[in-house]
Amino acid sequence: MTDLLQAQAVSGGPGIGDAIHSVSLNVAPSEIVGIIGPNGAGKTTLLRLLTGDLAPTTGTVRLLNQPLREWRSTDRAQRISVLPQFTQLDFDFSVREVVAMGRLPHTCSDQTQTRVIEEQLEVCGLQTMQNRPYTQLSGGEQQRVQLARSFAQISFQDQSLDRSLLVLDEPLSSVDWAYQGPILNHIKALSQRGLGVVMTLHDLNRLTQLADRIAVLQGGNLLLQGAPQSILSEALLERVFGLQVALIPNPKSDIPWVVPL
Amino acid sequence: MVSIFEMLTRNTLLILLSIVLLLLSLLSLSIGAFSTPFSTVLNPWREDAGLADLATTIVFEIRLPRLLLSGLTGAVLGVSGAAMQGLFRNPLADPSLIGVTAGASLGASVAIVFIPTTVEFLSLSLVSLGAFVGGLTATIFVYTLATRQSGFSVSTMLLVGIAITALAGSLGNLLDYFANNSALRQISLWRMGGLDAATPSRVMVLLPAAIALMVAVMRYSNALNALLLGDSQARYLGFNIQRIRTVLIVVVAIAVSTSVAMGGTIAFVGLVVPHLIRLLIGPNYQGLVAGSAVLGAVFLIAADLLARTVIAPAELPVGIVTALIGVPFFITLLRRRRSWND
Repeated sequence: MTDLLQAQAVSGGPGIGDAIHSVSLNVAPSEIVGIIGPNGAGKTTLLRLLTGDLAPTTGTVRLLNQPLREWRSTDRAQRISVLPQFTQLDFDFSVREVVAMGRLPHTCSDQTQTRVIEEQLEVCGLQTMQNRPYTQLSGGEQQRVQLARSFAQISFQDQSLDRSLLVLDEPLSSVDWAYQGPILNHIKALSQRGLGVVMTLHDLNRLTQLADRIAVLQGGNLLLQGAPQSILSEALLERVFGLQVALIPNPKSDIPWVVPL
Repeated sequence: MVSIFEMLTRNTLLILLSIVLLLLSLLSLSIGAFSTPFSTVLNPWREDAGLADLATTIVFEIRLPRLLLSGLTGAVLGVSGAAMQGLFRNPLADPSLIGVTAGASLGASVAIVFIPTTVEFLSLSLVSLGAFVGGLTATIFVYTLATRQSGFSVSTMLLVGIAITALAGSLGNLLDYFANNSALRQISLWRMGGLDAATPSRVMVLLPAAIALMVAVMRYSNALNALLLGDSQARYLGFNIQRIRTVLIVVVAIAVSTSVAMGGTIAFVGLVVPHLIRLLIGPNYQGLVAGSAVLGAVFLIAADLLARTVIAPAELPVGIVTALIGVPFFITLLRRRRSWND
């Protein structure tokens, strides 16, 4: 099967000069790709380049074999759902209205729209607060609302999700422990239905346990990528994060726990 | 504390506001320096003695154009305010932020000082024409200066808008300084706004601009909702925000310039009307646009009715009245909202 997203030798950045240097990265259907690297390594910039929010200075990004910039914006929004790191919303929309914005790219029956919205509210534990004003929620609750919105943007009309991509930049940074597990399980379940996922997460252990592939960024360069069990090493993590770590066997999977020393 | 406002849905509010608009319109047609009974307003062709002819003339040729002009102006200002607040993602934005009001004001002053007022063009005074050209020119300046190769930046536009407004204000003051007394009084009255010059032809000039504005803002109501999440997010949701912004700025600039040309600068409506609608039914543009249009019309018709009746047969400039009745009402609502949130 062809890849969902193909980035070939992509360079670029938001300011003058490139923050990302010639990165090539593919995402296949049903694959979860985790991007790791220290602050300022270029994770967010890479995600913006992969999703067309920034235009690359060199290289190309293809979605379903077609260059990203040739996609019509509505068609693209039906295929890629993106949750950026920060969303500032100062207007008193209800929680449900914010989640419903995820359905804006999709035209389908009201019943389908309602069903998809209800499902995402439930996944993110928001049913009881769906009529509350967004601005009155805590930071973690707001983040769950935005997550539910990005889930709602996935095109659920298709039988399989193998033509859809979900991109999440630090989706759990303010979400409390109790919700993190169920939300990550949901992402896993979606990927098993065909969805391709690219994400960053500051919790290295959560990310390595979830991802099928890890891409390591340092100073805007892709250091290496591969299955977490094959690339994770104490030496690599010390080199990238400049910190001593130990890898401890995980009784429930073959991917070790990373513990800072 | 549960307020009755929280029970209002989008549709009930629109229906209520439309009923208010209708009643207020009838009232406004019948009240004035010359009082006309409702029966004459509702059926002006009634076989009646001589007075009815005079009443018909007053209702149809003076009050009706004035009613339509104030309604349209109010709707234009309300909808433009709503659009600007979405574009700038800021509830404090109003149409004057893109320089259109200051530009129009300067244009009117130039016309008053330099051109004899008797000259007319397409039955519009040159003061109106000067205001229209001034408003559009200022907006074009702001838009061009805020545009780079990569598109235009909202924050740059905000700053350039403030700068151009200051520049136009300063040039206007310069004209004031050199103007003679009668021109100075005319300028200052014009700045207070007034709908007393309403004629059918003025209504016909404003109508297409108002319709274009409503159609564009309604069409882009989902995009405006998405824009409140930020530029990137709106793009990710599939909106071509560069094009949408350009279209919205163009229609707002044209409609506001035209309305300022017809009725002078009328403060407060563009800022407050969308706010009131948000307090009543929430910020969703699906209801906000129509709500702002109808409430804008209601607000300005009511203000104009007061302006021409409180000291009848003389009149107050409507711009004075909008803030005088709008501010206390607005502050009461704001304070009430705070009490439900606590």
